[in-house]
Amino acid sequence: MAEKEKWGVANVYSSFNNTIITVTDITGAETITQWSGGKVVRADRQESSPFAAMEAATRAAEDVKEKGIIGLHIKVRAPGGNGPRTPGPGAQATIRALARAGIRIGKIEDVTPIPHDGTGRPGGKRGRRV
Amino acid sequence: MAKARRRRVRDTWKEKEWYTIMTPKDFGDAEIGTTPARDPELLVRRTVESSLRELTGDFSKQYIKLFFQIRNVAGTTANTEFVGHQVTTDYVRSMIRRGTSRIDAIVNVTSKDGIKLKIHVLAITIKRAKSSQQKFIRETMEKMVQNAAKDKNFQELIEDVLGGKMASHIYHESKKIYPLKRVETIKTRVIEEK
Repeated sequence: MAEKEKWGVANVYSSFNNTIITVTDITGAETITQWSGGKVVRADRQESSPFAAMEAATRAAEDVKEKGIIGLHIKVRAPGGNGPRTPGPGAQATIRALARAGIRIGKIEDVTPIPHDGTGRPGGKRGRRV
Repeated sequence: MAKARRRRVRDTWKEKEWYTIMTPKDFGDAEIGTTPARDPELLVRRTVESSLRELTGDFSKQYIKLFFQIRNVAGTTANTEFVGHQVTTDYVRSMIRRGTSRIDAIVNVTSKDGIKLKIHVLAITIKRAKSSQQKFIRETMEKMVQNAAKDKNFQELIEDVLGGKMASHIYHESKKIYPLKRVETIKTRVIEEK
């Protein structure tokens, strides 16, 4: 890597209720920008939509470029734990929007926390009764 | 108010300086990347992740993640030390199938030069093994890791683990108990340094 090329990490947390993009340096200690679906749309139900994620990602990309970072490694994460382990609808859109905004994409990795055995899922024995 | 806050954020960013992070000598003094900080003291104990592909250029070793922690800063370069490695979760998941057994052995070892390590070895059988066989395989794995650590210093041990030498030794030895598909050292962690 040349000296001028600065890389960062985009930590994408994508649930069914929101998409949160936190861009940090490669150590994860310094936050560069933070954007979320909720920051760009008005209705709560749209926070997790691909559109909101796209918008948030393009704005994050602007901030990142302004600070002189040319590429991002991506760490995608779903809620995990006792919740769903597949990333929500915003994950795909985020990665694509970042790439389209002219940012180089490095490694893409799934970092969903998976318990080795933890608490039970909510809902009880007979499931969620609606 | 929003404007004022924004200005303050900008200022702290400009104060920050970029430091280059270097790998330890055992890993060839390569450059991993850069990190910003206001004060060099804040760099210490930050952990960087890197894959073995980036350090060696070997594409087949992409799934191995290495962790380095910053120990001291000299000028604008930060020197690190190896604190552990991990295989990516998707790689581990792709190995495990239905109808096979997964045998984990987590061993605490001390290398010849007195560094304490935790090594996690994973073996996968071709078909489902009985629990007695699994137990026996686990015992031999633990024993072999212990023996390997006893007469090697830290650097040699890490090389064996990352290069797959240790895994292949264990594979050939435990294969006699029950046919194995794969053996892999999926995780290490340095617990205590000298």
